[in-house]
Amino acid sequence: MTIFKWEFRKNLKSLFIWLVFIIGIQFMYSALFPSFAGEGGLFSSKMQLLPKVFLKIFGIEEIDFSNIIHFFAMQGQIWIFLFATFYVMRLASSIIVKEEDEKTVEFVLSRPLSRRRYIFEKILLVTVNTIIYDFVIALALLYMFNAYKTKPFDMKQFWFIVFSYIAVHIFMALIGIISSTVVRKRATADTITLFFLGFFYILSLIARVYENYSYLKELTPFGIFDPADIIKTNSFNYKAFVFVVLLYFAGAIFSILYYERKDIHA
Amino acid sequence: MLLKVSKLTRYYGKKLGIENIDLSVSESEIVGFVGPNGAGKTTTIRTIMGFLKPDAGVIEIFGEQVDRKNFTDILKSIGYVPGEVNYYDDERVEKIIEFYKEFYNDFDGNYCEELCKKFDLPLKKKFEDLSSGNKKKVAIVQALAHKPKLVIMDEPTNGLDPFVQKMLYKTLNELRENGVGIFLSSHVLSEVQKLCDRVIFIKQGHIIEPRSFERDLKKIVVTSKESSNSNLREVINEFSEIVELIDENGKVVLFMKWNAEKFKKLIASIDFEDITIEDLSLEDVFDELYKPVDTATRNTDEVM
Repeated sequence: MTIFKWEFRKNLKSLFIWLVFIIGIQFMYSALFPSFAGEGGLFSSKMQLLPKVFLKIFGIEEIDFSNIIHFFAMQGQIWIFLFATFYVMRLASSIIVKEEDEKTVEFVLSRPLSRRRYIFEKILLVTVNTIIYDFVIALALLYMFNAYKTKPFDMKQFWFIVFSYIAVHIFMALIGIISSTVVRKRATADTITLFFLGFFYILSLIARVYENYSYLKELTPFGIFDPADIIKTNSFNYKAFVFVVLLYFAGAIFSILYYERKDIHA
Repeated sequence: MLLKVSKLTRYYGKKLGIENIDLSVSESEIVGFVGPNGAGKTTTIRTIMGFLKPDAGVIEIFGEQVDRKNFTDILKSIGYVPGEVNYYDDERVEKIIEFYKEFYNDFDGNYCEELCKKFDLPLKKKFEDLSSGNKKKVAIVQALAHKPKLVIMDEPTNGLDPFVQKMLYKTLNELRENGVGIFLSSHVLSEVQKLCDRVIFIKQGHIIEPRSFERDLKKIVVTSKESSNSNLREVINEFSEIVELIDENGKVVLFMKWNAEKFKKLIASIDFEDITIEDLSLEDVFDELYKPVDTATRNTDEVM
């Protein structure tokens, strides 16, 4: 596990910084929650005065602001579902191509190490770091929700939301890994992944705002795993989650097979 | 045979990289690989090292035909110095060395330490802070510390100071004595001539054979008064042993198939101020192979 250990050590600092940042933001929102909830229905009624489109964009048409999970579903979709994805996306989109871009790949591939093993350990690093990242965030959220809740919240909904953002993160990690395998320049891999992140997010916004296009939400992880929908329907799309996990494994296998045949132009 | 390459071909799209490259390296042999920029040296080396897929041809290392399955094992006994050394900029040299050690099971730490001292590696410095020469030294230590049987080096002395160059030559000679085969590409012809048992020339992606080596040529430099030069040309036309004549800074350089009697006859019939006889150097062969077409020459076809 030489490559895994090396990469883990190299990526530990950024993992820590991102966790501090995301948890810090969430801590700030959670600390504000009791004052939102304390206003009773006032905040909810004021929110209803906002344009419908605005409420649809944030998925807050039917949100109970006295419930911390509902409150999280509103702000968390920006911070955890979208913003926190940048860490996973950047990690995945750079993990393979950066060695070609920085030309360190010749150092590694001239060692007795098969390309299969090399890519496997790199993908494993992305997987492990994503799991650590997401579960540390989940544990921090759980702690904060319990600390700042004004009334009991549904644990089942909490875990539905956690597994929803995990699904979004691994889906974007998959796109990052494939771009990182196929292209030669780190900037290109980042651009491709960022494009897909924007594309899927915008697709989910269109699906929310325009009822005629509501079917689009089935085509984007931000739609399939929408926290506002989870709150509304009290359900989680298990099949889609399993599909995303299987897709991740299929993408990992594709990346390994592709890289085994790839020319290395360092 | 440690390395045998047959008919190795690699294109970049439609552009030729290398074609039908045949070469070999045996135990206790240093083979030089010489050619101008863009001739295909690095493509050949990178294809042998498995970074590039060959379009055709066979690579055998340690008697085994290389494929994806056995290459990992083969790499245990190969040392490689890339032309351009790019390791991890933000890491200290000692960390890079530690990382490198982890790839080898029976790693001799003492030997590695000995090499680090010998090449005076700045272990505490970050890689990005090293000069190109020091970077090369790190690459050299990493090519040798796991005691490979075959060492492949792309321009190994680029950036090295003369002292370290000498150290490297000494180390390579010791390795040769211990049965290691070394394949190195270089632009420094004096280095190749001094170090290598055999030289392979590459031009425009093809291996070329310098016929002058086989013909026992001597280089004769004649300094004479300008007025005598035309007479000199007339005289040498009578000598079929003289295969090439070049004007070089007021001197006339002749390449002659060596025959002592004919040489005596030659110097008796020309008017000169000074004359020197040298063995043909690698530089002369390089000039022969790679010189521009319009150089004033005679009997060029015969030589080539």
